[in-house]
Amino acid sequence: MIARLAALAASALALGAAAPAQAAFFPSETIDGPSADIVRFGDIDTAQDGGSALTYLKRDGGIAHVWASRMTNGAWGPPEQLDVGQAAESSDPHISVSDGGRVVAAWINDGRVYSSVREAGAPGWTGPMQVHAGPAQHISLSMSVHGVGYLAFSVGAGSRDVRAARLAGTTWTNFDQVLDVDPARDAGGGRGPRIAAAADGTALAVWEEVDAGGRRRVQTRRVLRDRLSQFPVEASVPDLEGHAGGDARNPEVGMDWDSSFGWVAVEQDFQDGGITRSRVFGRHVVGLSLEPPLLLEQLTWGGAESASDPDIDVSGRLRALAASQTSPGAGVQAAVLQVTVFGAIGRIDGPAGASDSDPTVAHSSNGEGAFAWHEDGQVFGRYWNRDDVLEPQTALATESFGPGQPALGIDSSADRLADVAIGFVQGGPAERRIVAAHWDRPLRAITPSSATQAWQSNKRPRLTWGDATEAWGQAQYRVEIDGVAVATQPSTVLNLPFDLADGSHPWRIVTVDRRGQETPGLDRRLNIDTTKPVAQVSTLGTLRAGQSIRFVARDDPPVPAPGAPTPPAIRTSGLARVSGSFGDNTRGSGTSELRHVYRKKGSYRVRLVVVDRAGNQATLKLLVKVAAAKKGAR
Amino acid sequence: MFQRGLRSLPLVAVALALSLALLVPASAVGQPRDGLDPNNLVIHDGPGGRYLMGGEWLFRRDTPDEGEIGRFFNQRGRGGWSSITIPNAWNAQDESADSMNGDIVWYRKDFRLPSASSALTWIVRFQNVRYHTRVWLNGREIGRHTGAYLPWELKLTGLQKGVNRLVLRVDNRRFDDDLPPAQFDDADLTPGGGWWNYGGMLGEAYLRKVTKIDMEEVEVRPTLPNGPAASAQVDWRIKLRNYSGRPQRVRVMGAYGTQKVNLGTQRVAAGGTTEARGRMTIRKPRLWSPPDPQLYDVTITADAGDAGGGSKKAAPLKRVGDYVLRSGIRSLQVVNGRLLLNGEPMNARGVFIHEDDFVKGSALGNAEREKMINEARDLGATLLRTHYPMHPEMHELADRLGVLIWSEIPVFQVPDRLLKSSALRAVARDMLRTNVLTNQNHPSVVTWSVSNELRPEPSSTERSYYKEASTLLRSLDPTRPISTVIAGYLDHTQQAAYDYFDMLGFNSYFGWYPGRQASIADRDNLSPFLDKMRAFYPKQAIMVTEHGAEANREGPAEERGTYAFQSDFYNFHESVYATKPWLSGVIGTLRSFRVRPGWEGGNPKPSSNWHEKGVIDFFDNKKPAFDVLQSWFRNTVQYGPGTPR
Repeated sequence: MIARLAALAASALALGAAAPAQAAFFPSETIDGPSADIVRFGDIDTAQDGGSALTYLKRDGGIAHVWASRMTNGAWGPPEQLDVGQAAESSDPHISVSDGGRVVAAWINDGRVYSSVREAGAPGWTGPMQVHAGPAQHISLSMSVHGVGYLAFSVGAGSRDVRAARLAGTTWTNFDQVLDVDPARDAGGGRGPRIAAAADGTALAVWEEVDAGGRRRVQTRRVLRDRLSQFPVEASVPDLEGHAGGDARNPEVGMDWDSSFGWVAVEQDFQDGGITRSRVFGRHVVGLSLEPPLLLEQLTWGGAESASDPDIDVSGRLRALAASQTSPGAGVQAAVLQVTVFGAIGRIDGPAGASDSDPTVAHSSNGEGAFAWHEDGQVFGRYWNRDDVLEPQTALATESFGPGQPALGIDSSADRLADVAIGFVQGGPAERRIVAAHWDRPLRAITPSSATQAWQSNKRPRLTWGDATEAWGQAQYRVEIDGVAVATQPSTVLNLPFDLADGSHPWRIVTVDRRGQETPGLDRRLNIDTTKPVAQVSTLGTLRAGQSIRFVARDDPPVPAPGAPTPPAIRTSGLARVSGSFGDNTRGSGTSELRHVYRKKGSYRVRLVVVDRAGNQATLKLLVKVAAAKKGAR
Repeated sequence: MFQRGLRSLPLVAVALALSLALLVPASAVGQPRDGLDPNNLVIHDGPGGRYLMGGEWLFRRDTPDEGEIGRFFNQRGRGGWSSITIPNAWNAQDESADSMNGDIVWYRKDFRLPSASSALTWIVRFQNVRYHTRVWLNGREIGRHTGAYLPWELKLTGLQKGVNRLVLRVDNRRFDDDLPPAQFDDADLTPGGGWWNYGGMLGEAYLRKVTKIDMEEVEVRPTLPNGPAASAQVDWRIKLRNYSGRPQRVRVMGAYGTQKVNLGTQRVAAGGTTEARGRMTIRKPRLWSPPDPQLYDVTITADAGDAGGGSKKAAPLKRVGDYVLRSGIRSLQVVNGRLLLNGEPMNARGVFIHEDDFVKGSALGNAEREKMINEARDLGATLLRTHYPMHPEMHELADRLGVLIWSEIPVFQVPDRLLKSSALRAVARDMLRTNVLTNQNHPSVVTWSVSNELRPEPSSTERSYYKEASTLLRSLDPTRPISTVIAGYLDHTQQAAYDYFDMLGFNSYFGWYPGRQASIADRDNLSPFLDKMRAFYPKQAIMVTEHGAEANREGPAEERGTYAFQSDFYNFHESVYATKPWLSGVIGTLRSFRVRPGWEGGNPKPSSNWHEKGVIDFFDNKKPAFDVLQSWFRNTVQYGPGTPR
């Protein structure tokens, strides 16, 4: 046993050394590349249950094609080409994942909108399905938690329209009507429309649209199951805090599970002391209404800075993060839209960056999330934690992969446990890589039930504990007894394969994720007592009728083998009860001793049963001879 | 249908009327003295010798809890007291957090006994006092009670000639051991939980005159052991309590319609109890069913005399009590996952209600109850459900009108940590038992339900509660299905713990609430969910026990909370339910009711504190969804030939 524990201890030390506890960003890992054919990053999506996928463009034979990688058990899989058989160049790839592992991708090829679906558990992707004949540009894709997909895209040349399509199963259905408020005007320009699906199977689309006066406005419209809403709502505003509004652009949208709620983020020009400055604000979606604008950055009127390019991620009601970039100061501004913190929190990047750009946010339904952005060839991230604290800035781009490429895209997403994936491009033109950095949330601490501390007589107890809930990979549980790792396994049950000595053994569970992050639970005690208690007669000399006889029970530790070293004092479970029949048709019981008085002389067969708290039982049978009472005794 | 029963029993009815008339004191003819009224009882079923304790009651609040020190229980003057009538909810229109949290109030009734005979025992019966009650008579505490929704009684000790003062201290602050237990929002301690915590004497009170022997429990249980086409069997159990100081010989007779049964003559020790039991066969019974709610008048009489003993001769027997009720003969079975009423599959449509009125709160009168059940019938509903035992009058109405009742106790969303409490479990057991003993004679009661929305995947604590509760109910009433209600989620996994039940209710809010991890957000998952539950629980009858969407305003169908959205929601849900012929029932929501402060109910533009999933608003206006639901309900064959199979 000792040798076995020593060996186990050595292995535990080795494991411990290889797996230091960590709760931070993990820098980028390569999904594809290095390659001169990598064109740009598309986007990344993570479902509530942790299923993730990303998409990008990579040339094959000199033609840009759509590729995707899916995360399985926490690890990114090999790239898969989606636009198989398409000879023309593809562009604008997007991807979305729903719980259970259903993935949908969409892109533009030869001006047409295509899509491919990979059902949960399916061996592969469907071939490219034409959604719309185009000519299309700027597509946006979103799939609900239950796998209902929506696409929004601009169609036409010159005066464009915004259209939408809905995916049920593997069938896309285009809505006949255009989303535009005025189909005669150009709509869907700028960086194109955006659409976000709610869990209830409907969606909200936002887009730029030029009005009759030539001003760009941001409009919103709900997309229902089988029709478009008849009630578009403008998200841009005529003025803000007394400043007249101008062109609006670059809208973003995020929806709660319940489509009654969501956020629209808008960049809009305002007159500010004779100059035009852009500001970024959000509007809370409540039913068919948009609440008054809320600035998502902390710039000041009359200052030099403008804000632009908002991103917003909504993961539940009053659960959203937003970010925007500022110029000319090259800053990143953030906003937290939660119950405890609500509003802009100011600049979150370091003041030194000269080219901060393209911030992205990912928000989890547990209230945590992350901000990430390009900055001077590096990509930085900051984590918003459960204590409403923004953790320090961390470099996400592995240096050896080369500089981050801000012009080639960045995106991020989170699951419900607040695991966050950030995808982007690193490396120079000849050795570009599609990479992903991660905040992989450490597993929660597991402390076995206090009921496991009950004394037991089984030398090989069955140990059980709760599940740690891991979305990315398989949780491992390291079982430590007496400070020694005795098993590391994915199961939450361990039938101990060796004997434990009598005594009280500290034990605990250390959860270990696939990245080696460890989280120890609290110590419990394994209390083993396999030694039977003993009972004996403590009364000496002749016992006479009328005198009391005393039976005493003890729960001693095991006696060491002859010649063995004396072990340290060990605890035992202690006596639970002692009971006996005294041979004179009477019985008694107690916790540690019994006393009895025989009234008459004679021989009595006594049977004592002693039980300790671990359930060990001993029986003592003896014959008690009782002499006659002394004369005069009463 | 009840009138047909009366016509078949002219002699019994006349005799009963005469006997009641003889019991009425002279002072009660015309205006009842002190409001003690033997003629205008709120409910029919029960023992003779009842006086409704109507008229004036006195009331005062005691927020600082100084009433005991101030000896409110022994005051003769009216200073500080205001005049009210009961039933009374002291916070009927107070929608503040303080109101929801509860308060201490006092009620007082000054009365003179209708008869001064010292041979009589007087008992007071309270139909529904919420939650913690202490009772004083003439300045001396005579009893305490914890619980609500169900009736309870106290023997009046210390009665005096002249005016007696009955005083109640009623505390409707809820604690961990109450059902439902107190719940608070962790952040700011605003009260949580479900329906509004109305406090006070929410039901009427009765004074009961007992002449030696009281029929304390009455069980008249018709069954159809050989099928609906054969004779019925009626089992009788009458628990007798002897309030006299001497042993009594008691002969108990029963009449079921025109057919009589002798339940034997028992000896009951002084202060003791015994049971009279018997069985009779009813040939060619007229069966009770929703479309044809046939009722039989039941009368039980007790004749008693001193039992004698030793040299003393037994006294001749004299009439000491009677008990009346109305009974219906029908069978309830669950066979192959389907609820059968009289051997025919049920596909009932019904509504969920709360005993709540905008003006009166939970202190409803018969007019409000009749309005509610008639609204349900107008809708085409044949089934009612709420989270707690309904008032006895609602049961009698349901019996008469052919409406079924899903009878439940308020083990509502009780957290596991509280369900472990032995005190709370004792309260739950007591409610289960009292509910059966109180309401078992009503043919309308279709099931005994033990809980609503505990965790869908039961913990060991919940499993043990299910086992305990179902075992208790089966021992009390083996003729009715036992059930529980589960919040329906798409990710529900099959649970062996539900094997304890014959029927399962699933609350179905697909397309309204997101649910855990948004599992019910998309209404398109309703149909697959139902099919999954059918596959998981093929032996149990399954009902949809709640569904609905809030509606409090005009607006387009695409915005939640509008009448148009609600209509669309109901139309979609009913269309799905119509494709599940194996469903034994579907329950929508009838009327508005008050719920905890800050309630939104999934409505982006809510009405504070009002639950608005009903198809009739607080002010009796029918929403457009009423017509939608009515069309579906009325076009559904709910019972008998033609019922979907």
